[in-house]
Amino acid sequence: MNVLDCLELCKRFPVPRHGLLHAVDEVSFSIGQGESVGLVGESGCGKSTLVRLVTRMLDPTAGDIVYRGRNIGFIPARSFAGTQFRPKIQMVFQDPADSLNPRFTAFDAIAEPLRRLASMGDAAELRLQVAEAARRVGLAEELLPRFPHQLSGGQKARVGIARAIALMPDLLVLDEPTAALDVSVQATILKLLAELKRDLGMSYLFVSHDLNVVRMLCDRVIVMYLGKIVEQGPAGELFRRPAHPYTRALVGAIPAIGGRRRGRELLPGEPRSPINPEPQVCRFYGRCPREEERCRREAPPLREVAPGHAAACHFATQGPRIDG
Amino acid sequence: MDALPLLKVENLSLEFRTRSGTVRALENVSLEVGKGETVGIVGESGSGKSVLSFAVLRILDPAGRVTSGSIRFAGMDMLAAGEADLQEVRGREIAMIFQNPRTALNPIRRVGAQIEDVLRAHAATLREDLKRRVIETLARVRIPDPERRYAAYPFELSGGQCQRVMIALALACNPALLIADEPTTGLDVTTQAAIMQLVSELARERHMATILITHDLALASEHCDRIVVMHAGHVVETSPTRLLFERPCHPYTSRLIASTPTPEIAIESLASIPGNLPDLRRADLPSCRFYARCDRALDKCAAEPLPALSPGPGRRVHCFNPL
Amino acid sequence: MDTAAPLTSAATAAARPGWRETLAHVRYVATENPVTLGAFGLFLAFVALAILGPWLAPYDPLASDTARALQAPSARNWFGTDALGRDILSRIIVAARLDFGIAVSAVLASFLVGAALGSLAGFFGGWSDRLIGRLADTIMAFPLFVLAMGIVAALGNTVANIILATAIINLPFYIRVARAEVNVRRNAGYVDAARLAGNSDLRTLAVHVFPNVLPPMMVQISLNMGWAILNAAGLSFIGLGVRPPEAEWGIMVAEGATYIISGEWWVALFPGATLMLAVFCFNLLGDGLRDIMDPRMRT
Repeated sequence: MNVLDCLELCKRFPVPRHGLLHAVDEVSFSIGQGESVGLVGESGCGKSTLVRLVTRMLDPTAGDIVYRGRNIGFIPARSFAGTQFRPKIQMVFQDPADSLNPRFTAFDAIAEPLRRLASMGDAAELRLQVAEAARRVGLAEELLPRFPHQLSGGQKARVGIARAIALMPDLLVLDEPTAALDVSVQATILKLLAELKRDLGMSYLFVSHDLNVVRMLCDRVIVMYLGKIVEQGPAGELFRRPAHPYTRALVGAIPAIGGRRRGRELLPGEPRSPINPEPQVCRFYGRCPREEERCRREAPPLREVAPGHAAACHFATQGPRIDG
Repeated sequence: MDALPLLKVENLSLEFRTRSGTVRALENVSLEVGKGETVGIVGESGSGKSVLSFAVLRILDPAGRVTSGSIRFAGMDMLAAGEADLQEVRGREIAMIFQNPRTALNPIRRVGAQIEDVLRAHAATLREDLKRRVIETLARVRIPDPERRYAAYPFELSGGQCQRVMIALALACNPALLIADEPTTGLDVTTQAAIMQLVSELARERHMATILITHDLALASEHCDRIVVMHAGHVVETSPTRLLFERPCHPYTSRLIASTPTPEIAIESLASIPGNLPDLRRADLPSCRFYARCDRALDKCAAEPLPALSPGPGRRVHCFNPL
Repeated sequence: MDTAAPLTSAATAAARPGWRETLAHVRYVATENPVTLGAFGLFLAFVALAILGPWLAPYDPLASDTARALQAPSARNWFGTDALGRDILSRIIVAARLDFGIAVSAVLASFLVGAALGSLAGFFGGWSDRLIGRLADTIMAFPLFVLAMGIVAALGNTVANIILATAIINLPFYIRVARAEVNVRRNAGYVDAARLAGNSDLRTLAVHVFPNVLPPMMVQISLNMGWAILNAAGLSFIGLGVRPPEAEWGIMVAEGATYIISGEWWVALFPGATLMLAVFCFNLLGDGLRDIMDPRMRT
């Protein structure tokens, strides 16, 4: 049984005087036990909204969110905190400085989920659990009484991770966990995340704009554009042989040491509007180097191009190898 | 490279007086930029790379003080120059673009008006011509539909478009030097590619020198002729780009390269740099500020003043035990 | 590290920073800024007066002695005497308790209610925001003096009613500040983290957001105290609330006002100057209080 199944998930926001903004549009994907799934896409693609839906901080407009066979999409976000599922799905936030309460010490931050969601015998047991979580993430005990502004970026990141794993969740959503960190610290945190996944058997939904990092840490990758999944497949393969033109442009745009912008396809123009999108037009139409008249009349469905690898494009084939 | 560098910073040291002590933000920093050259300043947070650019333009926070060294731009002594002379230079000869383009623009003024301000201040333009020139500039930075965008407010534009407007502002007067401080941090990777290509193209067209300040090694490797690597207020290594990556000399540079994720390497081989930046308020800092984190450290690295070795043409490294 | 290892003292002490640390922090803030220190000292002096007033006063504030009426300041009566021969210094000292009492009660009431309402409005938005906004607008339509007179007419001329009027008039101030501060922090990462940790919305607001809103509110509270004292004095100046022979700064200024022309300047000046000093002290204190409350200042 999969840890998470999302089926035709939709989230539409009403925009006064304009219509409906399709933030997430019929998104379906699964995350298996112990699997690490990467979620990539640029600003406006809907990944932040999808993250909020999966962590049940937002209610879907339509579609199902299924956790281990149980439909949790029906539980309103407001009451989700009181259910048995809350401890099972946790999140590591992007900016550790913003996601740690400035008035809480590191100890308090890690203890909070334990206090609220796990039945702790007494204060001593709580301290033990917090110390254990801190140990797992390599956070020195003497740092626990400190406030966030007294901790370095890497230390804050560890507190954020300790807090998220304290309850031993099944699914850990990581929203750009190393984006705010220096590259020298990033490696340590990434290795920690890889280790934790192995040791604790968690599944990951790893959101990042850094495709190199996603490639390193994830088994499968989902690429989103304007609320829809445009491609999904095994990490290595998706980046080496992207099938969708957008993925190709994305992968080609990553700067590489020693690479001199070889044959980079720059996307012209701006993304189409997510408000009241025409359902028959491909979302990428207007910027696609490969587009034809057909793309305007018939939006391509997500279709398999190779085992486990699917793309939403009429002309999707596993493209020529992109070097690297 | 021309014999006379456009910008020459020599042994610049600067400090900040703060509530909790004096921060020695830069120490003996030297840097040269030739006409038409693109130089990258690469470093992590706290390396002093942004502070250096503010010092060049003399727009440091009042708590900052240059304690030694010199900055010469096209022969002019920037540290001795008066405010009137500096205002001539800023915007006209040296322009700067910043991170977070939306916040760097004035949110309550239309972008067209903001570009007009620059033109009016520095280029003698007739009033009738102003609007036309602004629209021309917007078109040159490839903003779609420039006539309509002329009247737009920054909040109506995307991050990428705001950055293009900033570039337009910066280039309005054809400066000789453009300082780009993390211009694409926070932008999507496809937008980043487009913006960097625009900057490179415009620089090439106008034979304009560029300083690209970034924490992204790969970005610097693609767009810069030479790279200056900074750590904790020191320049540790300077080198032409290709040589830097083929054969880094300073241990920090090498670790930095090894900790940058690339498509080829697996997570196990990703390096990290142990320890933290030294506290720059301390009076007892070792000579080499990388001493505590370096696996090639020798005793003299902490005590003796750092040498300036030249391991190759155009290369300089400040290390007692280079690779 | 062995999981069976005994708890180190660091882990045991990891709960809350102790009172010792807090005191050290207060001392640090006070000494960093001499102005704050001065204001703090003055504040303590006033508090001492308020608490110990009756014992510190050299004479009985209510004892009239018409033979000694309107005596200029002298060695015997440092601040002189008023029209009924009462020692002005004593009356000023004793009045501190009443003035502070009125101001603190009014500010506390209005802070508690206003901050609660404002936080709810700022956090939940929607109809609660609109409702509370309308309430605040309605209150702002009334000038303090008109409202006070209305309440006095309806409920009687007592000090308690004056406190009520002052508290009501002051409510929109706190509602606005709390609403703005909570609104800014509503989408912070740690708020989402609190929800993920199993906190209900209300608990997230009360335990996670509100404590962060307190430091900026501290400045407001301090400034507000100055305003409240001034208003208490103003209301009694026009005869509402405090009545003779009670000693209160405002009433003393009112009583002394008629004597300025005839040259007995001390009857109005000393209570007026004390009033000014008190307000001044609170205004300066605002910054210092915020620094004490803000954990970011602790290094």
